[in-house]
Amino acid sequence: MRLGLPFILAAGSAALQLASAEDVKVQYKGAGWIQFGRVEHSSDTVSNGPEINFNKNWIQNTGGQITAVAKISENWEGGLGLGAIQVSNSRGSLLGAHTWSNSWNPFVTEARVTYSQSLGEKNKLQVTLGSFPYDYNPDIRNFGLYLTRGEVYPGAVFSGFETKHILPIATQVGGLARIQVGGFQNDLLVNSETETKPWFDLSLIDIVGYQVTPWLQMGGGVNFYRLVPQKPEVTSLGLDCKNLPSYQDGYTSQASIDDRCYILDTLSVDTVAGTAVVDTITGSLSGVKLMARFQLDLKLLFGSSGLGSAVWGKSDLVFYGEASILGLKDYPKYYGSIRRRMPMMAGFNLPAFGFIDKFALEVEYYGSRNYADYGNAEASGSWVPRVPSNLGVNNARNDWKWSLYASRVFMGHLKMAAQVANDHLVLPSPPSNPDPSWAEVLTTPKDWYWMFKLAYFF
Amino acid sequence: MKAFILFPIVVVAGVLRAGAEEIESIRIHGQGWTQMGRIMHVTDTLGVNLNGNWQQSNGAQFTAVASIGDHLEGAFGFGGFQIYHSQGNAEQQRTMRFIFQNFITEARMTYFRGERSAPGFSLTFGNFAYNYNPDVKNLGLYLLRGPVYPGFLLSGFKDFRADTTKGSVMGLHVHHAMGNFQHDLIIANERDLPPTFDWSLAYVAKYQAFEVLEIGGGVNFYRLLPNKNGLTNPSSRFYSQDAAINALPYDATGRRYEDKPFPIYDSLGAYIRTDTVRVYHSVNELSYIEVSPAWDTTRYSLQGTKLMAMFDLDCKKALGISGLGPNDLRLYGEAAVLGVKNYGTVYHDIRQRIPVTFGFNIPTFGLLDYLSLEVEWYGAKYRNSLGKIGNFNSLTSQPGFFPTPVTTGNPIPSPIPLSYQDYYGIPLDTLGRLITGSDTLQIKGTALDVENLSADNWKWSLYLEKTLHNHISFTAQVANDHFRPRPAAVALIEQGGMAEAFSSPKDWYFMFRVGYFF
Repeated sequence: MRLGLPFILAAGSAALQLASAEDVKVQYKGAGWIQFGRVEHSSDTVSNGPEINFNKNWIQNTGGQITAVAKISENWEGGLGLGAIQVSNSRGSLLGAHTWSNSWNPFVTEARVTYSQSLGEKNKLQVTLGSFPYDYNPDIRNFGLYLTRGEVYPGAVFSGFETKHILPIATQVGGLARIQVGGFQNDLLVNSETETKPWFDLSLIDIVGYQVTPWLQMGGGVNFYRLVPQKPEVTSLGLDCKNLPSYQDGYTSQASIDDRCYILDTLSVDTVAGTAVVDTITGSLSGVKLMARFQLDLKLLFGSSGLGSAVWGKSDLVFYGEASILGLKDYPKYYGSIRRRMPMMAGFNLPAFGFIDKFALEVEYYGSRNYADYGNAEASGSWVPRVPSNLGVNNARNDWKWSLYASRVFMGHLKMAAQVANDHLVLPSPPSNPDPSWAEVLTTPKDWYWMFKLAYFF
Repeated sequence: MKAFILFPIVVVAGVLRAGAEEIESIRIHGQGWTQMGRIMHVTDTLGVNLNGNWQQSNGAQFTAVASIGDHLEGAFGFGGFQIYHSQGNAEQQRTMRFIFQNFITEARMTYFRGERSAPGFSLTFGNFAYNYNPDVKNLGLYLLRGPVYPGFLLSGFKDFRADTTKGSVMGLHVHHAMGNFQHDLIIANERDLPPTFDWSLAYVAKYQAFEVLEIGGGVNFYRLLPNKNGLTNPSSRFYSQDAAINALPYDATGRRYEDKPFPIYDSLGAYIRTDTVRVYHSVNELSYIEVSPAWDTTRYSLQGTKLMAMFDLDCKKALGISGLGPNDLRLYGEAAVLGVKNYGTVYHDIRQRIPVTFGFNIPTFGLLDYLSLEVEWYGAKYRNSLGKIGNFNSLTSQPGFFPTPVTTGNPIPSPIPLSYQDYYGIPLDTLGRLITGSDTLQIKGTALDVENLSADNWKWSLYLEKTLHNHISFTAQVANDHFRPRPAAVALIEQGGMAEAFSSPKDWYFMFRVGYFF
């Protein structure tokens, strides 16, 4: 014990002036947070299983991460880091309460090397290899980023409160080549899929952005999703779904093998003869995504610095939006219309005059008529969406989504953030449920939840 | 043992003294990496078909090294890496999971005399890295990695035990150097393989001759002090496990047999009579005890003594060649005896327990830091699967029907390697065939032969490494080695694979890593 205290004190004082390795300057970045909130209303208490009733469920987690970034030479930079989040299962019903548990989800914040080469003033070439964060649209607080998160078939859309996709946490594994010429930027990405199964399929993505004027930025991109599958017979199942278990048998109408990895489309029915002509359609988890986006800074457009004596905040009055096509190819029955595969969102940073750093209202429209989950893809590797056993479920009631987000940084290192939303929240299943949940919690306009976060970062 | 007793006293005395002093400096070291590769060919696809499977992981680690006074150094650190199950096929891929494997890079205190970087004498206690042969990139280091009976070999791309930034030993390390001679005493606690917590005592001595040749040797009294003797040396209470097989009679050729009745029916399914068929059983079906035809009893043990001899010859210095990279033209090698004692039917021939490896750093004239070709020969005649010992870092054996190994019949780790019964669930017929359902597979003499496997005797590895700006490393490897992938399966292997992927000369894989360290 005699050593303990002096050691800790000495370590503490030394930590502030840690030199790291002798010949590189390592910059440490860290964050720690607690967040909690509550699902205030969730209409669907059946489709995920009888034990999943998220109404009035508290959501809570706490986490921390540290990343070391070093400028190794004029051209080279490296980054590495670790983090962990403590996640609690959602409680579900009373039945699940006594088996409630916590789990730790460690992660690598990044493990990358970056090579940068200046091509003159404001122009540069940058190549990154490894595991790294990537966010092509930093305005986004909740919706959007469709090009690099989520699937194509089924067109599951991901969002939520401060998900990793908008934080400095690695979401890409592979390579990024960036070229910047004046206001033009082109990012070419090769990403190995590690977010949804099947893993390790390679996607090729190209994203361009152009600062048209100081107040207008436009961009677009294409994602050849799962262009190079690890195993083609896994990514494109064909007709061989007889060995695939159905997802949550008993809660799906696809308990039989039909329609689980291919589509049976009824073309005609002869009611007299009692026969039908059925078309069998095979497909793939692969597909092509397109994206277009804009950012309009109304302050700069109108040359306004404030309202009366009140000065606009840096993010105030920025209007932004994004639209995407999740799959260019139509398949009958579930993917018959391209308009049903086009999520689009718009966001507006409400004026907060510096009292709040970001005060963003976002709205999304996504007209998919498929059940909002990706359980079939995860459990069976199938591109066909899951059809809940309740065939009467109205999937049109979740077309519109909304989110109101506010955040403020105090003293340069303390951040508070809050959100009220009806978005694409997916929660871990209660422990009483045998399968994980891949279904959205909020399925009608009445549904909503709120979250609050307190974070310290450096 | 004297050192074991004295060491804590020395450390405590030093620590107390250091407590009165100041921590002079704390240096932070870090490492991050992303790696990927692919299994290009595996012959054995009966359990999981790993052909064409991509392998991927990324990780990071931090270590803090503190100088405490003039003679003490402390270090601790932690890290983690994400690993993913291999995909297998469409049916299995849905059960793929990623696992985050945490580890302690170091947790040690070192008392030293002399220079901090190359002390003449040092005592280290805790969790620390020890690599007696830093030339080895993949194949070798068997004195301190892997068990004795059975003599399973462990290796793979960037295996932790060949990495000097990760603590692979928990215990005590005494180091002494005197001129060109140095020697090390290691007391190591077994943490990788069940039964855990046994203590091993190892000694390694090395001598540098003429600055061109280093020779060395060592001994490892593996599991010398068992945590529980009944686990390390299975006692007679487990005789019942083997009683049925041991009770079988021998035929004239020394093979155990059993005449099993089988009914004969006519073409209409009507019963005609019951006949018998002779089925042969093998010694590998046993787990702990073997009874010979003369009724002598052999008790198998996980304890054993390993020996090792090594050399490192710097050919460019020997031949006076200049203009090459500092690591070019180094020839190195290692041979080990995995168990000096011949016993039982399984371990009757010491020649089958001697892995021999050679490595050569091909000249690259500074383009690469290393281009190392390593070759190994090892004549063990059984499948390199940890199935009957237990899983890596875990006491739980796999309750599997997928991949096929291993039945959970062994209540405690077995010193006897796998049998056909373990691996395929049924013995072979008298012609060495596996008959499953309507399929008949010829097993004997092929790469699927788990009891007489010789197709995997030769292993090879080509490793290359280049460090840029002292902090960025690119590493790649093409090999047919002892890599144990983690298959996606119905019965998940949480902590790692048990069976080596490669069982024939046709098998190989490649890996690539980009890393950054400071």
